[in-house]
Amino acid sequence: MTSPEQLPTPRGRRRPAGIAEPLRAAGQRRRRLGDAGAYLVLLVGAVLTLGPFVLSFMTAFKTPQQFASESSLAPPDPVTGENFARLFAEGGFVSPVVVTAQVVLVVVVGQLVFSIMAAFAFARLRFRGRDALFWLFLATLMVPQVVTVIPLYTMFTAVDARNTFWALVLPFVFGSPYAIFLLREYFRGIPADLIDAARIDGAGTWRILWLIVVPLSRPIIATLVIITVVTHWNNFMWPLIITTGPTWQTITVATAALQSQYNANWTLVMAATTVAMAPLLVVFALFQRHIVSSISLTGFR
Amino acid sequence: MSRAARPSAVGRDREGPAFAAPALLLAGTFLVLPMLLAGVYSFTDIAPLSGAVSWVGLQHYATMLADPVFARAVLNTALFTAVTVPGSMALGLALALLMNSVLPARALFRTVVYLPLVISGVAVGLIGTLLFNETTGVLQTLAAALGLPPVSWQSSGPAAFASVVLITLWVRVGFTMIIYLAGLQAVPVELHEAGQVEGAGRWQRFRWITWPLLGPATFFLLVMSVIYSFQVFDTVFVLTGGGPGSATEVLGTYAYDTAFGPARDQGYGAALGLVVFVFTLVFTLLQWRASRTRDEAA
Repeated sequence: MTSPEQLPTPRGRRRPAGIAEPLRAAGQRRRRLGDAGAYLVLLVGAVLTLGPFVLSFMTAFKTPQQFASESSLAPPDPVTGENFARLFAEGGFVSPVVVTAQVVLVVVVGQLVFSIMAAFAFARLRFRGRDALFWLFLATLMVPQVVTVIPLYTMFTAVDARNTFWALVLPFVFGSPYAIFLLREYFRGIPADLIDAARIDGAGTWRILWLIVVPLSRPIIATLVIITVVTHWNNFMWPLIITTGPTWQTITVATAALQSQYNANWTLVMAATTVAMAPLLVVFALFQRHIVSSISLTGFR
Repeated sequence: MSRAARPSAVGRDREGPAFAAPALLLAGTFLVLPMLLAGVYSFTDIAPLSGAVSWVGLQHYATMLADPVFARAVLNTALFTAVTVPGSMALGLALALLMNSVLPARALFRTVVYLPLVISGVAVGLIGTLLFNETTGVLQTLAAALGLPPVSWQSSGPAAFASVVLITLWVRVGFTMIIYLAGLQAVPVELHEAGQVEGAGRWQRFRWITWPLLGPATFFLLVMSVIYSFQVFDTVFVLTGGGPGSATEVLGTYAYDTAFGPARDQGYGAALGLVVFVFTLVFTLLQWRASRTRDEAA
């Protein structure tokens, strides 16, 4: 490639070389200073963001004695696993982790399968009232959780299903308006010719969906899996309302309960918080790229 | 290929309703029905233990108008929204602008700043209690080390409210930053260079080139953030529980406490929940109208 200086200057991209030399030197110096300033501000931002995480991890690995007697900023000394041991032994934290994992698994599979089916119907199948139904679906996105939980509570009470696994799962397992909306947009971008060709070859709707449409939609599905895992691992209000006692407590409810039960037992509560956060931070590290795109799509919360 | 010629366009697909059925069951049973029931409940009293329902007409709405805690919750929710939405957007935009100019390590900074977004509102609230606790809290330790007077983060209303706002900003800045960063990367470099040639300074280029082009991002963030702030619950519930007194009570926590707290007043709770819904609805419609007029004007 020729050096840029020798090229004509399209849209005034570069100043003529002769005059530019001193100017550019000054500009570069200023830019370097500016860069240093930008890095400094970003560094402060990063420290402020990471600080609370570091402090909660540090606290989780301290002995209660150290936390009580030393500055809360002091690093753990000795580093101890006793909070975690206690958490799982007497804090009964095994069950919440298992329950939450089960809920997340069932909700993710159910929501995905049913949302994919519905989104395909809304995007590609023709039936009476299709578009009206879809808009009704979208409108439900605006309904705040705090409105629906009260009737849902009485509904589950009426069928005597409060404090059960199904109570945790049913309101979410049949799909999610968000997922359906996002999948429908994606499915509409898949060339109709592909689907028609498969139809001509005799493939039924079910096979077309799972053998053609779904493999082509891997990126959006991966994104949705992550959103759903994160959302339901973190879900709080509904499990808080519909469960009583330790049997079906999810991890968020158990952690919040720990705080009121062992008031001021900071090291134990922070160990629980760490357990609740750790899987998400791992998911986050593994699927960073998908998470970025999913945040821009939905905002998470 | 024309639409009519597509085989799938001929007639109707019998499977259509079947494929949509599970999702419609969801919408019907777990979203629309509860929504309608909430409307009905708001006109009734539901006995805490027996669940016996009695019609009280508009009584809950009359109560609401004279309820000082409700007034406080509305005020707090409005204030919380008015501070966290512009606050998180301004900080996110500032960080995005800085990151956009700094190439190496951009991904690393971005990763760090959106880390708080993936953890639960409960975890955020608990980390908040670790930071803001009045006796053992980290901020108190830091203030002492810097020779600053201690702040009553828990016992003083305004300070407790500030703690909720601060921890919310900690979470939300990552979100606004990502959206703005994506928006900034779509701004053509040529426009800035042209501006520079014309003698426009940094601020002028931002004001007249970058900011208008970020319009869609700003609009999206405004809608998402306002809806989020109206509905805030988890973090406030865990961090302050609405207290001290009702200094940090928001509509979400008040509706929850009314329906599921000691009072168990589910009728009034449903009426309070509906207020959150109406706020969300009105705001969404206003935004939608605004965006339509803007699109038509453009």
